[in-house]
Amino acid sequence: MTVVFKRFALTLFVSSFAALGFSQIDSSYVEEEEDYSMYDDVEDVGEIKTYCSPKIFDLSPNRFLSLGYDVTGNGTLKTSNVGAYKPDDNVARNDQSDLNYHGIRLNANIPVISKSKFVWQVGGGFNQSKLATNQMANAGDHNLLLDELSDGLTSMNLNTTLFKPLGEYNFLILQLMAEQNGNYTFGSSGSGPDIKNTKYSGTAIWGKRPHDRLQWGLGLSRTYRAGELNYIPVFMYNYTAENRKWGTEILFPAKAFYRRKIDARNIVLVGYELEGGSYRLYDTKFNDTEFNTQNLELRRSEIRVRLDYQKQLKGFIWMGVQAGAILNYSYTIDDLTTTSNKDFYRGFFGDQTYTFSNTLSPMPYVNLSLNLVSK
Amino acid sequence: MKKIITLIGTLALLFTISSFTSNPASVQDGGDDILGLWEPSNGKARVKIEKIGSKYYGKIVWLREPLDPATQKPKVDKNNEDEKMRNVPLRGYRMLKDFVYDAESKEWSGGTIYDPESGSLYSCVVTMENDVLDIRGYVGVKALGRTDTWKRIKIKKKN
Amino acid sequence: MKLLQTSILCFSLLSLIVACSPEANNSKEFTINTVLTASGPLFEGSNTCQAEISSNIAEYIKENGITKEQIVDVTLTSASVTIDTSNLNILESINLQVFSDNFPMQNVAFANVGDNNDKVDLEVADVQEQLKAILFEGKSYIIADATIKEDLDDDLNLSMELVFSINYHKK
Repeated sequence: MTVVFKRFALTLFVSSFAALGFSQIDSSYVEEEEDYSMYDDVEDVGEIKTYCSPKIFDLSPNRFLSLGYDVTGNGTLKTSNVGAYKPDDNVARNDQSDLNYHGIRLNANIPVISKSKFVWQVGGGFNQSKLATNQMANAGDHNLLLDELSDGLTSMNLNTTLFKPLGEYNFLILQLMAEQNGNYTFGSSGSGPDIKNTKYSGTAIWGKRPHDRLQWGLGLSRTYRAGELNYIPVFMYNYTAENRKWGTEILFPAKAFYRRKIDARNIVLVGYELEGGSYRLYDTKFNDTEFNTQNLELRRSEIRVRLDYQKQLKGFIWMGVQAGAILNYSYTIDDLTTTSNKDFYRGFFGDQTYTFSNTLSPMPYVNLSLNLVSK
Repeated sequence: MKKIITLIGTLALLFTISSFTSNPASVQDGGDDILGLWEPSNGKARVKIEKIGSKYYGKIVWLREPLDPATQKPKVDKNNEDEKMRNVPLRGYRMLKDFVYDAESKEWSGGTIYDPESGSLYSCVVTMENDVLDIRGYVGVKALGRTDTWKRIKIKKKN
Repeated sequence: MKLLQTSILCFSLLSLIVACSPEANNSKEFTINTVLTASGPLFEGSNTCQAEISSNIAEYIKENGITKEQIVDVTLTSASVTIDTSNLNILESINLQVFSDNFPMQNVAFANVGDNNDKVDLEVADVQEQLKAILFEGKSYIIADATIKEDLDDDLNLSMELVFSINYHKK
């Protein structure tokens, strides 16, 4: 009995000692050491395909959300009378006013699907231009036109972008947009926007990404950036130099920028961007026997030449400051009554006439924005 | 009596052995399945995922281009927000941090992924299927993010 | 105009909130000494060791008549490492990280190590978050990623002194 008990006690004693030694949490955990050169030679266990990335090194940050405020200096608006003006006609513009505008710009770009093999983003925008102007006395059509613009110009859009990599080096981009542009305001008794006046545009690009610092592509675009419907080829060229200090962000003819990286949190871009659209003029007051229409569209387009400074404030919040000049490319007006209120294609070579042939002189501008970004 | 005592002793020994060999609870619910060597889809680095305490961390153990072309020296964390941390070498850098395994949703969450190229730190959630990881880095909410796939790799056995 | 007024109002409110936050006008030093060891043999490159620290910061502040609520933040002000003479000239760099079970890991100090240095003062990170919470957890961890220049058969011993500043406002 004593021997048996001793054996049992010994077994229990050894067992408990072992339990203490091995099941207690080790508070001085020391990681197993390793020779890093062993990671040179590996083999796959899992299987994945490699796809080209939608970005290259050091591109300016992608904005998920952007809230900005846009202010311009004065420009001189010279207007013709109501008429029928071909694009190349010499036009008498006897009436003029100074005008400037300001307003908020709100944009969102949300990734619905964002994976290596497919990226789908959906976005929207809301831009307002509130006009301030000195109207002339006894200026007839000119003043009526300014009245149409006095509530400001609003642009709303919904857009979607698809990026599809075709293997490791090639890709496709498809972008579609529906816009509602016009002199409408919300909350007033005025008309607009009307879904019948929605403008549709899109761009398709096939491109290559040969390495991490270059991405280029060729494509076709249906666009209203020049103020009216147009079909144009596009050329994309995003590049970062080997020293990682400078690069380009080009989507010609819509925009072209030279980029300078001060550091990972401060960048400067210099270049231009073409902005524009066709704005419906609602509730027009042109009521006379010769000219009575509710189908006017302002073909507005501007080239914004600018210096753009972007800086990280904290985390993913960046601020943007733009300063430059707006070169107004188009401020003409079409009457769509003659085409049964349907938009039409004039392009660069059409000679359909404008109802108003106007010009707006260059004006300085400043834009401040707060952005939620991803790099 | 002798047989009973022997039986109790044997059971005690067996219990001890099982305590020694048993893994913490998280292995039983799949958390440790993520441990090992992984390669992102761009093939530029290899990351070893390990466990410290109750959380999971991923350390860069190999770089396809280990030298900075500008300096010809081993790459460092030159884009770090904190100037004082810009000389930390990238090889050995913990780019995945603080992941906790949720057995119910079968995902590793609550962690972060660091992108040395931009010096940005993203919130992150990881899921796994068939030796492939879906690593989703995001800003604030999961909707504002991007998913990359990583494949499991292993060191070739030397003959 | 309305937007401008709203912006000014928001900015003023924000400034008021920031201005009313308690500022630390006192501080006390709190030191932790610990030894981090990496057991040999070690290979050239980054090697890691971890030490668990059971900081007695709660007792320390009690002895000094400070409550936890008075503390605004805790920052690491200096970190120094004394290297064993047997390991002189083998260390290339040290990257120090702290974390606890409930708070994320963060880099707190780093140094490139020169030759013949047996004592290294690490550069302390400017960005430090939640150190107060980590130390008050009771159990927290220090990880030192030590990059060595060549293989080492023996252990690597790093005696570490961490000096924290407990910044608090008076009652």
